Amino acid sequence: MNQYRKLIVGISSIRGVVGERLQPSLAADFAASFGGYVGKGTVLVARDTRPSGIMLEHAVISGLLSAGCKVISAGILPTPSLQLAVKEHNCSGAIAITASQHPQECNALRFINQEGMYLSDQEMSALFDIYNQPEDGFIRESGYQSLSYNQDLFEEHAKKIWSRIDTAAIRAANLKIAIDCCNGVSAVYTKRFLKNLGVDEIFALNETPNGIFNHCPEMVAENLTELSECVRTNHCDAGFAQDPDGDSIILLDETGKVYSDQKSMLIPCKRVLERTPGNVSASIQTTAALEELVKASGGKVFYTKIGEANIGLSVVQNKTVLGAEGGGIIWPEIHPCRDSFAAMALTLEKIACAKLKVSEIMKQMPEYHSALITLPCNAQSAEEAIRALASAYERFHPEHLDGVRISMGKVWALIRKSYSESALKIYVESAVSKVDAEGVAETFRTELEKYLSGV
Amino acid sequence: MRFLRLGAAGLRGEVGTALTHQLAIRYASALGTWVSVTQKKKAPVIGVAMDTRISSGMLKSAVFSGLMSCGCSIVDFGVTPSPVFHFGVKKLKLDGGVLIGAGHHPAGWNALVGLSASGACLTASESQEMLEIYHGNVFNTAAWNECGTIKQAPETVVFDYVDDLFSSVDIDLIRSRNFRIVTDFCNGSGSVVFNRIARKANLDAVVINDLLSGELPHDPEPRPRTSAQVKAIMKPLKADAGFVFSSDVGRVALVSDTCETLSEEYTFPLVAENILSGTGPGKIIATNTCSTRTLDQVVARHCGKVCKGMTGETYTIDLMKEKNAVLCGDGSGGTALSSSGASGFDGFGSMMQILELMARREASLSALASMLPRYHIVKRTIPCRSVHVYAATDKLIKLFPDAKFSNLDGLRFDWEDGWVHIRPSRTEPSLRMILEWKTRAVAEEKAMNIISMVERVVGE
Repeated sequence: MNQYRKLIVGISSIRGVVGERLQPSLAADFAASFGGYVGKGTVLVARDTRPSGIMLEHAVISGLLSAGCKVISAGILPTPSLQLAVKEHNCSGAIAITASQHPQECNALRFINQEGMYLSDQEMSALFDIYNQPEDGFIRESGYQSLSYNQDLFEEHAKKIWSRIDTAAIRAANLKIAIDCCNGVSAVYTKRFLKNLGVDEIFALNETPNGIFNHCPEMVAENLTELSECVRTNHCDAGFAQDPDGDSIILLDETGKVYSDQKSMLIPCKRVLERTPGNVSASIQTTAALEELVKASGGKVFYTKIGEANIGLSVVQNKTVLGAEGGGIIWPEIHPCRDSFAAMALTLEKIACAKLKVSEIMKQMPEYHSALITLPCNAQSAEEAIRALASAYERFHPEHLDGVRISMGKVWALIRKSYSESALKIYVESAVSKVDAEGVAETFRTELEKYLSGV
Repeated sequence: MRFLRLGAAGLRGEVGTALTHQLAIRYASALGTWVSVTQKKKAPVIGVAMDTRISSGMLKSAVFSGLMSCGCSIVDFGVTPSPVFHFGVKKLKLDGGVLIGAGHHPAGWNALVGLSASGACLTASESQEMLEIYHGNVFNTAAWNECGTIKQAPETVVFDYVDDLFSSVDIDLIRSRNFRIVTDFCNGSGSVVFNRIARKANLDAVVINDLLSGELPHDPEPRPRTSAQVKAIMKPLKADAGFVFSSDVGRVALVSDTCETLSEEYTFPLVAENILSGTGPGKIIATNTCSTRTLDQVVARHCGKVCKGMTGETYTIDLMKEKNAVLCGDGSGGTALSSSGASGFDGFGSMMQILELMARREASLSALASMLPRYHIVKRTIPCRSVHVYAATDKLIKLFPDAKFSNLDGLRFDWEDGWVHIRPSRTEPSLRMILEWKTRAVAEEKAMNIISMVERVVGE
């Protein structure tokens, strides 16, 4: 079976192809189990714009009501707005119906706890225990709570951002911005959000919020050629591409150059460090450019496992000023979740205050070149190979979180198991050159192949 | 055990313990698949209406998701009385419908009822096809971009319903009388459209229990004992008539101007009296095997004919169509007129007929009721949780060798002065006994004796 057509139990989520493994009965039963898990309190439900969203939303609502929860339906809403609302409205949890950057035929339920953060691995396993050992029957009618609607949750989120950003500076900079809404939640909200931030002129692409994606929603340069064109022809100061549920962004400079997800977050990260110098939480596959920025401002980086739940937890526990993972930043002043709206606001504030072009600001950033190799192998031997490699590089004090991260001066590498296929991923960044990065990656490949073949 | 009933009368049960979101999704998926297959449509349009019961919102969401997942689009009627929904499905040319509501069931219960494109409940054969799909458990599944959509039913459906309701009576005559009436909607869906009816029919109406809360102010079955609240305010208001509706407006019981709480059995004979007045002989009235003899005598007086069939709204409506009857109804207080193409019992329809009768005869409701040949009716529910309830019932066949016996539907025993009918309930875990005798004393005594005989036999 095609790998992605299965039901994928991801970090904090259940994902599948609609009409195949992802059926309303499954969604309703997981929602009911989640209702049991959070304990009959108030649960928020929101979705992105996918055509299957309404169907799944109703399934989720029926499951939650059956479990005795009070349900607030927020309709189409960015995931970060939903996460913030859980906390602000003292809810017991939330379910976001979105498959984020995955293809349009997929959808997913993403489970959010009472802190407004994705369920951790331990929390997910508690949810599975409830799902797999259902109690006899559900709540009787006498225990039912209400279903209500709230359309104002984005406004609350946006206001919290607007009030913390120097909108006067942005207004004074007369910025022209191009956005690609990817037919997702940002098609509903982003234009007005940027207007109120003080952006002068906005050119929007794919702004029909119907979830029928005009291009593959994965945010890489080849999917964003139209946006690049739009930036150039309209002489925009910058371009932003948002993913369908509004948690991450890609940045384009005034020449239409598309930055990688790792580079796109550097400007907002730098802005946060300028505003509030301090320590930072980042997933183990985050670019070393960030670590340089953090060190320059006198802080340190707490590395975490991959996944928003882990980074968010580190932000809260270590009281860091920022969390980062490719394309998404966590700005805890708003909420400890990945938030593309906060990222855009911080980027614009930086552009306005620096009075520089985006390409000029990016030139000031530490430059790293990356290389990625995928090495097919089964899960068991992958782990053994990683362990062998780590002990061979013991002198570099490797970080063991997801796979192993080895820092060697101007070069660092992350070797880990892939989440979506039977393979090892070798990711290398070098401050020297692309050729250097590729060379180091090849060296690791040779070494790993040696371990894999059992020599 | 035995708190779920699945059959021609839909899917019914106690919410949470028996009727769950899981079964509701499955029922809706089966119905959506059935409509799609039988009408050869990939994307049928299905109406969904609900009453005000507390769990109806949960069931509505479950039904929405089930229907959309098999490619059906939805016309959402929101809280709508069942007769308006039956009418609306047909009027809007929808491909089917799902009616969510507990009707006469007690608090804590709810039900889903599938409707065909005609607006009527599924016939016995349609229901069988649908249940085969339900039990086969393989449903149409729409691809990601073929999931259905939802739109609201147009407000004009209610206007059209009221126009249709008025077309079967002399509305100007009713208007001219400016009747003062009291209506009790049991906090169900009736009050949603009643204001329009009252205004257009020039009724001076006092409405009670019109909160859309789903909290039952009294037993939801229209019965003399549930009419107490209406009865209490009839006299101070000097009202001409009181109408006690079931929470879905299918059924209605009457309270007379003299504050008599009439048995729900008399609603149907009074409606028949009005329909048959001034028509020629030979008109057919359809009912079931356990309705009052009062009806037989009223129909006989107008030289009409009574056809009797299985008990249950669906069967009675089907019988009316099959026998080309002008009216159908039963002893629960529900009636449906064939002239309006009715596909479900309509309490508003019954109310309009009775108001027309009062206007035509220039008579009070108490006077009209006094003209009815009266019997004393006893209705009892005998709890019977056994899965073998049908087998147990069969043991009762030889109980009364001296009586005329029929087992067309359940068991009916007829004597010169009265009759008794015993059948397993299709919607609840019990036997239903209905007994009718000339006088109250005899009826109550017979009821007591027969119940103890039945309990002895069934209990064995």
